[in-house]
Amino acid sequence: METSMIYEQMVIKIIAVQEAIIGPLAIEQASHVDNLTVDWRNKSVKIAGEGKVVVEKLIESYKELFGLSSVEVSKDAVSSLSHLLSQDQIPAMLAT
Amino acid sequence: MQNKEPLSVAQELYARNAELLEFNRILTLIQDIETIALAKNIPVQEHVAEIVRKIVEEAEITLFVITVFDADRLIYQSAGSFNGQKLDFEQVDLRFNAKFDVSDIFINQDSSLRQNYMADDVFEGTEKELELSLQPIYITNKLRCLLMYAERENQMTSFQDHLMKRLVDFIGTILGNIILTDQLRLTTIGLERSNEKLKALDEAKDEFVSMASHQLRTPLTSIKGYISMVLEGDAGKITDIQKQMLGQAFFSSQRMVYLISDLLNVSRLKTGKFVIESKPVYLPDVVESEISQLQEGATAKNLTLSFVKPKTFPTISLDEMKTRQVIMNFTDNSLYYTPTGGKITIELKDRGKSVEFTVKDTGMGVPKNEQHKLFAKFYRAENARKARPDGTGLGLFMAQKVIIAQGGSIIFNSKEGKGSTFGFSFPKAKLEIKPQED
Repeated sequence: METSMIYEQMVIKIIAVQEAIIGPLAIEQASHVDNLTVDWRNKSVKIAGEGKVVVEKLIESYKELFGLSSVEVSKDAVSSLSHLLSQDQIPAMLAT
Repeated sequence: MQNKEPLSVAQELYARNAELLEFNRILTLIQDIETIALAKNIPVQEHVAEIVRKIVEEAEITLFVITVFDADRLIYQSAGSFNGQKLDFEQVDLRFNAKFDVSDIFINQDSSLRQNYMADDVFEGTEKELELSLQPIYITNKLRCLLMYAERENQMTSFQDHLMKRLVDFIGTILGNIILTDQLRLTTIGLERSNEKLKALDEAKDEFVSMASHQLRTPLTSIKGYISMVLEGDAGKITDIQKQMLGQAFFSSQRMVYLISDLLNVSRLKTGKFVIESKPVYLPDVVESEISQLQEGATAKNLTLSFVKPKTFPTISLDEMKTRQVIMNFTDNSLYYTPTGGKITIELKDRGKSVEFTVKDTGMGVPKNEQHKLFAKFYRAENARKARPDGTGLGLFMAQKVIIAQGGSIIFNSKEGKGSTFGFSFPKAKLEIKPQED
């Protein structure tokens, strides 16, 4: 899988789990992240720019509102994808 | 009450919701596993594989294995893996770095036990070492289950961690139920097969009985015919003693004809070839001729066998041969089961709307608790078996079939030690009646 696709998959997984917890607010928050286009009706996202940064910003946006719990939730959501990236490609928020 | 900051309230609510979401996911997964366990007519291995698939899919766990042992013998195993991109349930090759003793794991009951596993399949050719967590679970004293699971760098997510802890509590019960249900399924299959075999054997036996009866009847008819000719003087004059002896031989061969007919009719009942062939019958004559054959036997046993032929009786349409057998059976039974000095009264009555035949004796009677089974095939009451060990248990069964097939009903009442009444009655409405004969 291409790295850009991995980031997009990460974003989808993060939004999905946040939506399950906080509802539509999760999509609303995601739509404010720079360089991220969300088409949630089709469960698809588009990243323009650096994926690592976009994922970082997305998690940050949830953290601002909901604290560290939301970071842990995001980490768990993408745990099965993280190993597909090299250490330097993993967003800092997801690093253990 | 101190007001909390809205942000902190939101964060608290978020944390609660996250917990609830996780709890809900675990419960849903448990429910799904229970649904899998309830699926019927599936072998245990498929159940186990399906449970593994569900857990790996839902938990996205790197490796998950369920192994079931009967004592130390591995009986079921299923493994699944997820590498972030694809699920794999076929190619998981469990190669352990060191041999480990399953019994030790169960003896130690240590949930922190670990085992190294070379996971090249999981990592698409890149051989890496995974640290497996081993969770021993007892299903029964003999049946044991070992859960083995691993996540990369030993980094279980909170969901995976909680799920594995919950699995320990119920997977043993679920697997136990699956195995029991499967044993029941296999037993049922075994019983069905045995049943089929028994049915086939029964059919073969029926066919043999039918064929043998048929073959026996032909020479017997010839024997009976020749005895009858000798008795009637066709071969010259015979002495009284010869007549008596030949009479006994004739009666016994007649009995054998009836017995063979019973056997034939039983097999015909099974094959649907049992048919009633009605023709006009004057029942008083039929009863009289049957009784006359038994009179000698009754006298020899010092029994009083009485039949007063009715003066008027209608000619009715019945299967004569089969009805004769019923009359003979009821009367013959009375002779057998009535002790010396007893009394047997045979009556044939026109009751206006029906005709009725009864044989009343002062015999041993039928125990009350056995009366309801008396007309079942091959059934013989305990006291009857003692008095006459060679009976077939077919006479009354066939008698009932014959009478009911002709629209009649059986008359039976008995008191153990006092005597019995056997008979039949036919409503005239169901019989073809011809004008009364004087």
